[in-house]
Amino acid sequence: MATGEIVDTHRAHSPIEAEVGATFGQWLGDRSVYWSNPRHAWIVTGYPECARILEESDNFWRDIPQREGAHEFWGRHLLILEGRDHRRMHAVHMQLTGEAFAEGIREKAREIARGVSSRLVRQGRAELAADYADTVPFLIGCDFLGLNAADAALTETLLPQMKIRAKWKEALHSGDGIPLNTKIAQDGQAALKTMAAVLLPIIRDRREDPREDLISAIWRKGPTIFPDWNEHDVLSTIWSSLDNETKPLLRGLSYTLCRDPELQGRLRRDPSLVEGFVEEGLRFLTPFRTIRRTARKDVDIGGQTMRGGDAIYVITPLANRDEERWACPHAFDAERSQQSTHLAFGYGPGYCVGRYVGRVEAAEAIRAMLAETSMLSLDAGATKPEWAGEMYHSVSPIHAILQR
Amino acid sequence: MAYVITEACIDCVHRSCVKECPVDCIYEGARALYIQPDECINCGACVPACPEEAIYYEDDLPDSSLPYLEDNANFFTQTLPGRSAPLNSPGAAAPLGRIGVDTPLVASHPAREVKA
Repeated sequence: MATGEIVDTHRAHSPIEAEVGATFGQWLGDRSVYWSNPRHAWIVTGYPECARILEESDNFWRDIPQREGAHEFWGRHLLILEGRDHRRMHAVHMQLTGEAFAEGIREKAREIARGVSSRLVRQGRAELAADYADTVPFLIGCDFLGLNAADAALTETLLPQMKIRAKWKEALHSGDGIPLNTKIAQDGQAALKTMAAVLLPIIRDRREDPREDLISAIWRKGPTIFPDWNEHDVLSTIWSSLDNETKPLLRGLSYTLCRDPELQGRLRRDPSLVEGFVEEGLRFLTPFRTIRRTARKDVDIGGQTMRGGDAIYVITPLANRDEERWACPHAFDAERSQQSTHLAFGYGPGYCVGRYVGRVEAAEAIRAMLAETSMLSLDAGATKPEWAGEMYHSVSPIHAILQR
Repeated sequence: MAYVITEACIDCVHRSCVKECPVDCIYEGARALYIQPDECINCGACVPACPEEAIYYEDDLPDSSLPYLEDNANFFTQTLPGRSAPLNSPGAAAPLGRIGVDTPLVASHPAREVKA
């Protein structure tokens, strides 16, 4: 850049900013850490305080293992383990699904996403939340796990059952959880049983006849953490490949594109901008938006004193709007340079082990949809999209018109 | 609490852990890397990235590597040879680049033969 050259860095704000911002209203308080009587919990919205809570597991406990139904839901899973067992499992997850793995699945992810996009574009219309955002990561996960997504019986069993399981997961994690005798938990247990009946024979097969897939790799690595590693541990480990935060992220990104034809044009002209669009989507939308913790002991934080046993809500999307870390943080700027670590993948010991895979899945899904279309737009005559969800926050339905 | 880089890093300095660290808290000396304990967020992302298996959570350190717990901290709290003040907590490693000196413990370590 020549000296004295004026660079206009202003970009028109995205059409989604106001409506996404409005969804935070319930969490805003007069301080970055405040007590909520209705929630009977501390609400934490400041970046330094959110980061500290997620980092200091000695002071702030993830109480999921203690919740009714957590062990039935998760089995011997990363979210249940603590201390050294958690660290070892975390490391193995990252070894198995780190950057090299994610780059290894990129081409197949692109092929799968192009296939789904192409089919939807031929129809001319689609409900992008269910038909695309929820479907593409599932199919990519099936592929790298070694499940045959072309087997209609398999996918027609798994897809609807995963949705039932997801409802239980949301209820289990939100607030204080949900009793096992409720309908959501009962339905969830039945869904797990149905899916286990389909998946366990495949998992057993990979133990006897390993292949180049993630299930086989999990069989190889699992016993390095627990010598008594078994088929149920493998099953517990693979859920996150089939149902994860990439889905709500992709819903939000798809919707953002539908609302912003100019952004679509920029990304089509230069597909290398898609990674930045995904990263800004993670920061701005932060689909995993409330993280629960419990204070283990009395702790001073953000000018407040939390007492041992107090419940805490960490509101990550508000932390991701810290004005000291991001310029104009309430603006959605797909070409923003991310100067700080956003909290969309968590922080500290629970830092997301699927971040590489999630980024690849999201980027390839967006690139594929843009490549297959000349314009995406919301179907004005269809049911209007709504943002919803306390833990996973996303938008649906996204009835869209897809122009070739 | 923090993760600690031990003697297995000496003369390797593969740096694959540096790229994984979400808060850029792994600093480069001359013959080894060092984790700034106050900046480490305990995420463990560096551990599987290290080809030498040199990184441990401090509670998990083998007895033979315990001196490196203090030594990682010393890299930041003590004035290193040729420098006028301790590094303390710079906030990020990338802007500093290679520091180019080591703690006395690492500097006095016999040369290691590193795997290809």
